[in-house]
Amino acid sequence: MEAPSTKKKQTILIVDDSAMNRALLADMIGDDYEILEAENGLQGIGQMQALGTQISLVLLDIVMPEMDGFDVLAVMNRHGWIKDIPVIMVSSESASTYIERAYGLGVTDFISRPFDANIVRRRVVNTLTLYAKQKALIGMVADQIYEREKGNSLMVAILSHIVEFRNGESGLHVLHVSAMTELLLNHIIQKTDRYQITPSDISLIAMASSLHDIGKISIPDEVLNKPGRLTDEEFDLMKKHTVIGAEMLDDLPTHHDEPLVRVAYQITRWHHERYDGRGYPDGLAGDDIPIAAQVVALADVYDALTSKRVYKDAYSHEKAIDMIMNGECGAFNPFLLECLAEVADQVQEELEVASLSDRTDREIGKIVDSAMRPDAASSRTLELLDYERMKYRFFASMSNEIQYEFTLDPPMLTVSDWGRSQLALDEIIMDPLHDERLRRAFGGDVLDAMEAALHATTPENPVIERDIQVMVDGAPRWFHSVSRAIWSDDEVPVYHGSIGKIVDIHETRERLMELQYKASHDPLTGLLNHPSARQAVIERMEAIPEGNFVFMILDLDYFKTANDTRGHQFGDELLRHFARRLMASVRDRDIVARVGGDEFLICLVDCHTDPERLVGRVYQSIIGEYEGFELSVSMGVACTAGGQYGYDELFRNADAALYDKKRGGRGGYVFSDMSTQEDGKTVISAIDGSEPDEKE
Amino acid sequence: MSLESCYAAMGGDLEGVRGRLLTDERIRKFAAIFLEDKSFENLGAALEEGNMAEAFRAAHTMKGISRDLGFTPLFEASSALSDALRPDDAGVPSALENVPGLLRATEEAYQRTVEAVSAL
Repeated sequence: MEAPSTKKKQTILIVDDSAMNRALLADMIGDDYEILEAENGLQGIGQMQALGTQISLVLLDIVMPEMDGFDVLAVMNRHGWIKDIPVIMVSSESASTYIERAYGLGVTDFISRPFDANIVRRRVVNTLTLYAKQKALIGMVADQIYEREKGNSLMVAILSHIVEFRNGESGLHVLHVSAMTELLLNHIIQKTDRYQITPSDISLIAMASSLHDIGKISIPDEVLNKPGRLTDEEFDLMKKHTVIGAEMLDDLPTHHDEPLVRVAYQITRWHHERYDGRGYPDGLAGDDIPIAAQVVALADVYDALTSKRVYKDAYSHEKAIDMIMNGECGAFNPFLLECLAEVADQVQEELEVASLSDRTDREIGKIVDSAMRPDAASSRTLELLDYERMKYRFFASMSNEIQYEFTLDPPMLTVSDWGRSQLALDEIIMDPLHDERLRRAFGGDVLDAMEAALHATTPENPVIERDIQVMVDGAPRWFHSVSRAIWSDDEVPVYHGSIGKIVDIHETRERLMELQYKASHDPLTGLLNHPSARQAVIERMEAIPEGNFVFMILDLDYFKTANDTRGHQFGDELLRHFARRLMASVRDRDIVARVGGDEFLICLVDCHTDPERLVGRVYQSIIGEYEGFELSVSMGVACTAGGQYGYDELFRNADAALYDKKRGGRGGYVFSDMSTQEDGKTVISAIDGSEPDEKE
Repeated sequence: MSLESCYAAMGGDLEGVRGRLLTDERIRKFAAIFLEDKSFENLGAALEEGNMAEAFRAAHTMKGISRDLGFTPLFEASSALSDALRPDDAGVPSALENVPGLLRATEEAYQRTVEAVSAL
């Protein structure tokens, strides 16, 4: 037994479908570890996704339902978890193909059945120790590189400072040149790969740039710091600092093959060359001048212009850029000038904040990073990811939204906490498009349609929104869904899946529907009101342009008498009853509305029978009596076939026919001859349908 | 009943299991848990339903457990059964024709083991 420790226990996840196996392994591992259990691969992946590197070790069975051990390893590989979470395979499969496959997928160890308490415990401790050692080693190597780079950088800083000190400069010049060199190079590699510069080259060139003026150490003080204009001889002497600096580096007894020294040589020797070949000392032109020297030359000129010197005042940033662009400081590579123009604003900001300590640290940090982390998912990245996940979960639970993440490969859907409880779904659903429960909740065709719609988006326009109905506790509710397709950055973008959220809008939508209903219906009878009936008829006529429509306007005769003699409550009852009668006498697709008062409207849609007979049938079924009140109805009818007449003509003519009918005595119906003009003038030659006495 | 008589009754390997599980206490604890394990019932139910993948997993679990506990005859029988049920590349049991015989052998071994362990 080990001494009890006050340290937080390490967490071990056991993924095995047999409860007995899990219990046995947990018992053998002992109480020194926190044990988590998962009864299939899917649950195991869920735990890893939720806890990340809080899990120190996974014991993984092979044969399991839902998702087997190899599939778990495949997912761990795809997400890069296998690099940070060691896995020991436990199985009674001892075939070498299984074991090889497991090692191939990155497991650290393999324990075969029967389990031996000593072996299980030893393997677990070994793997954890090994892993801790490996992490510590990575840290130590990183520290050493850091120390070495810091040493280099410090020496360079001291050396260049000596030069500047002698030069009467502030010491900021080398920092400015270095910062600006880095800025320009970073911009260059974004625009072109013609110079084949890597990010670590940039760090190197920026560091080496500090040495560009070391040759000045050999220039006599009275020339170097002469306040006035230099004579030709003095200027020739001054120019020599380039060659002298380069020779100093070349003459180094050792190290002259170091990349830093080689780049420093180029910069020191050629940072006064010009693109047109009119610089010194060698008169190189164009890209014969190494790009490192070209960039440092530009940075050197800019900082010289914007700094105060014994022989000149400082120019403003804008003035300095202008002078460089106008060629007042010699010719530069036009591409480089283009880059300068594009980063000009940043240059000003960067140089203001450039200071020795943070620059050095930043550079070293970068070098260490690139040396130690050749591949993407470092543990730091994983930590950040864990943190982001925590935030995401928190906001998801706060917002009463169901958030999800869908990946195509593996086909996996992750649903946020609240969504799980709301929809009774699992956190992780494999192959969601074929998942029974999900298809039941959302409707299979809705899911397929959404996936197809997301697939059909473009990287520029990846968002789709729609209202969908989802089954919650067996009843449909309305949700608003917003989803964003995830496209890769490849030249030909690849669809990877989607993220999104769905928000319950059921109440809002219900209220909206209710308002819509209220706005389009007569509150007393529940029939459509006149404006919405008009709209509905026009829609039907547009949908069936070749159809026959029979349009009736009808009055409930003597309604006023009913109101006067039996009270308004009876009047209301009567209207409601009559409305029900109207609805019952027509088909679902027909339109019935209360135009106002005791006036109603019926439109028979797309009729295939003789209108005469239809109207007669409707008429017979709506007349009669209600609680001792005789239901006498007068109707005006207008017909149209094949879109001959529009709504307004139908209404006008039916109305005129009704008016005509009432003039000749109430009860019965009259067909319009469709001769009523817009001005209301009528030429009625009414075909009388029936007299009240004719009814049965 | 002592562990010795129990293992003798079923033909198990007590010496081996003592070497692996280290304490008699642990052996007794997991032998008791063995009685609660549902793999045998799952095996029967899965075969009845014709769910061969599930049947394979159940036999496979029995094989693992009986091996851990040194229940040698049950291990050997369930191991042979699990091999016969193991899905081939097409997902079909590799030796279906042997399953009935092997199932009977497994059942016998299981009954013998359960009797012995229940007497502990």
